[in-house]
Amino acid sequence: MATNTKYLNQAMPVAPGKRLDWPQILIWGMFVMFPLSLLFVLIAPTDVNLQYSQRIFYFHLPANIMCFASFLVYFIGGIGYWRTRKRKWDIVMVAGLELGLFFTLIGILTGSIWARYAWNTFWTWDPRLTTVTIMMVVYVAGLMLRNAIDDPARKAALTAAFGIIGFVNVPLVYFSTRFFPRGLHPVIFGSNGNASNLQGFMNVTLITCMIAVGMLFAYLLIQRIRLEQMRDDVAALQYAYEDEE
Amino acid sequence: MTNLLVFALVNFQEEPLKVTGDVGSGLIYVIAAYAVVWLFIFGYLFSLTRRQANLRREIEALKQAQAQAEHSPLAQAEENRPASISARQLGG
Repeated sequence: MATNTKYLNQAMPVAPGKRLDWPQILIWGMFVMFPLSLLFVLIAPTDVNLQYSQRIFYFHLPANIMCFASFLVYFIGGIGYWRTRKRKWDIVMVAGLELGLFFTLIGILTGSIWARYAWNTFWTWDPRLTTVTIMMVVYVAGLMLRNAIDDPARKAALTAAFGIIGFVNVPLVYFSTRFFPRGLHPVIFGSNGNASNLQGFMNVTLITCMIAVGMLFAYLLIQRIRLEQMRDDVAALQYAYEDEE
Repeated sequence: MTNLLVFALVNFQEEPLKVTGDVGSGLIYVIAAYAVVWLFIFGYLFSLTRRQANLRREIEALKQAQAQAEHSPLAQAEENRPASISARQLGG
């Protein structure tokens, strides 16, 4: 139990009142950006080939970028934990992991719905879709293993190992469309990417959606970190109460 | 869970699609995709808020229990006892 308290004491320091209230700022930002992005999605020009279905892309792409960003947060947390063994990095890891899975699911589901229109199937073992599935399975396995372990230090060490090793999947997913050009999934970025074909107001719409989803990512990350800090508070209070009794 | 989802999606693909004007232009897919996005966002927000509320309640309950324990007659007697004779020394 002493080890546990020592471990918990390493949690992120919370100093309310000394910092900007970022969640509040982000909430107001989202109140402006989300309706604006939805309005832009409605009035954006319709793609000649993909018709209305192209509008799915405005949320599919930001969700996938935030999925990569979340796993990057997880990876950074993993490196930080291996170097310092401090609880604050464990909190960063678990927040990144959960958010990564959340955004991956959004990306996969919106992609599947779009694929039903564009490829006439919800799912195909295209290189991009296959690598995304492998990436998700690896991270889900990491989360399940984490939940199965009671010892906080072992739990964090295992999560860090998954965060560092599992991150190999992220560049693999990104470059899968270039490594396997025969796949169905289009290349998005670069000179021959689909994103460069967006014209005029389509770009404005995409950037607006990116900002809105980016704000959502930041807000959820802060809230997820707070949740872990509250768990630490509960554990510390329980320890203090038991000690007093 | 993922495998089930993948299995369901793979099996679902064989079903023929009724083509209407909305389906032809992809509008129905746009509506479905945005419905999924918002369902997920609100679902996750709800889950986060609920988990935070539960923990907040737990923190309050523990603080109250701690305060009650501090003000109990036993704790007050322990406080009034001379420092040289603690409860531990008395075998308490």
